[in-house]
Amino acid sequence: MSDRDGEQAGRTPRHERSPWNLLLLVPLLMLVTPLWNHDEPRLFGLPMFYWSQFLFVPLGVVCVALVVRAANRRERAADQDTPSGGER
Amino acid sequence: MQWTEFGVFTALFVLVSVLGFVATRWRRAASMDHLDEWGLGGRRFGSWITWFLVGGDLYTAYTFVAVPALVFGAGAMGFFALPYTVVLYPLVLLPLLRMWSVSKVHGYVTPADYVRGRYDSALLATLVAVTGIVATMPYIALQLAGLGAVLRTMGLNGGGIAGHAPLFVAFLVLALYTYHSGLRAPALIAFVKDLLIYVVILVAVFYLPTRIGGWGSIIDESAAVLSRPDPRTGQASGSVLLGEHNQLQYATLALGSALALFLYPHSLTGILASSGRGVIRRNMIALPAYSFLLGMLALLGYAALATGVEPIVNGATGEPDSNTIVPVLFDRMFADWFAGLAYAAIGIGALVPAAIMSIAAANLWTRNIYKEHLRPRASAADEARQARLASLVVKFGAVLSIVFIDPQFSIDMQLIGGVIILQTLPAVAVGLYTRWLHRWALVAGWTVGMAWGLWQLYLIPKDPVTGRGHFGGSAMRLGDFNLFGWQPLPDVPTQIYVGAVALVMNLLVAVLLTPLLGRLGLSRGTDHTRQGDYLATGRPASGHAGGGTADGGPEEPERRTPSTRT
Repeated sequence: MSDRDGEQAGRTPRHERSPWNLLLLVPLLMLVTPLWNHDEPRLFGLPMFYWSQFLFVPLGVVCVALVVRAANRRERAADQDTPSGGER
Repeated sequence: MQWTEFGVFTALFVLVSVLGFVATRWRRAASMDHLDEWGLGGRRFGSWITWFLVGGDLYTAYTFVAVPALVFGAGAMGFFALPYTVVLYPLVLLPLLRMWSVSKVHGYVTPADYVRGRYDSALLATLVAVTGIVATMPYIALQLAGLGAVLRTMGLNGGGIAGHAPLFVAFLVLALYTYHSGLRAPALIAFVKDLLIYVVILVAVFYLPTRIGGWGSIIDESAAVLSRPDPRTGQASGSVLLGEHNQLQYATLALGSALALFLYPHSLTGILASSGRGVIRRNMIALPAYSFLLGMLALLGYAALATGVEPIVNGATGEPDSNTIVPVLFDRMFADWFAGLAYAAIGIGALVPAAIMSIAAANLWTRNIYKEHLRPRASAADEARQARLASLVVKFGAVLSIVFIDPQFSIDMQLIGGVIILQTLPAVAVGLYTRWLHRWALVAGWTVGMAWGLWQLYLIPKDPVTGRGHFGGSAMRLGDFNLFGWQPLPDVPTQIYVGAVALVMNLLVAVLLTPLLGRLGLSRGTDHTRQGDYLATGRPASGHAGGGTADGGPEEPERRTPSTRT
């Protein structure tokens, strides 16, 4: 730990912590199988077990996309705060 | 012999091989004799190439052959591959960004490089490297099994040793062009492969159900077939919903596979070869497009059940090869030329990842064993030569593991690889966030997790009825958990993935030993990484001058032009 201090001095502080990141936990609900392990209702003939898990694909994409968007916005804001961040 | 299918298959195969050789000229570097060039394609792949490259080595014969085969044989359990590829991206997004940044700053090419820098422990780095190489072999073997299934369906199904001949030929081709052009060959081929795969899958999943009578009747028919008692065990072979004992197995298989995937050197290679954090972020959003296809393909296992497909008997071993069910289904349902196209997609889909996997394992050998222990003064050209030779050795190691590990379902090869590679999670993935764990505690945890995991896998019989043989699968009953005679959960019939239990034991040992070793005064070593390294963007303005440039500067030549101004 002693070898780490002082490194941050003079550098753009970048944070990856954000409440948005909690969205990444939502897709883990998919692993709680008792919620989905049913035959009815069916969709296009597929039991709930199958179609509900297919629905998690877009859900996972949306969660990751929101987290990424929030991170991009944070980084852009951080870059603008430091004028030295542009042309060198 | 299916001549039309074989003709289409061979034509596409040759076309792709030629592409592989041409690939060396694509965005050519000054010299391929540098490991960064041969093994990481110069570390400048953009979003599209990364998408094809990473997608190409995640969705493989595993998707096309092994998953449908498990659904065909066991039903709902085989569907775990879908949650695996859904929870995967949210889980790995943040750790991978940290991994890319710290690797960019310090010029790391492999996970073992990183562990070496982070924990200052040559032993731990070597363990991580060896683990990566060994775990990759059964995964490549799975690709071999997939390719073999296709060749067998086309009629190349000789008896005895002749039954294995086509595999050796195909892998010779692969070995030759991987040897020649490194990561560039598979990256270019991935385009062709994905194009083929998309065409085949879209046709298969939308056209087949209409031929067979819709998903409703396919599922009902499959449920009936799966519930028939097996003449040998007297029990149903599976069901279209999970039972009471295998839900934990389903969840731990999905979670364990997701945690394991980016610990494999090959998937990390695809990430490290990308040109920036933005590329990785965009890919974590776009890669699930493959997950959809994977789920659809898994359902083809039911299509095969409902149409009464019988797996082809392996001429070399005399046992039915469940890997052949999708190829046989295509053979039955489609015109010969289209079946040939589909076989080419499966075959190339097995070769691309096999190439990437063997390159990645070769990188591990060269950087972390050869250069670290055997020839520390090796030149860049020496390294590149070693990597090429090692990639050949790894491929033949895979051929051997096909001979020695032959589980009932080929997917278990990948899952056995998962049990092995998961033991590097505490050092690699936990290490990205905290250095609290003592390096010697990590070594101890690895040892316990690996020893126990392999022992447990050894105990799983190949033949569940007679209880004979070893390495027959990847799941155990909780009731069988036995630690030197101590059985905390006797008679619990719930099944669980061995890898999950082994990882928990690994972590427990590491966590419990850390304060103890600290009290004994064992050195923690020097951390060569800094907190800021994990967030570096790699752009000259915000990244500080790190060891990255020592590797010959993987950046584009454009960057050097402005420097003449100063």
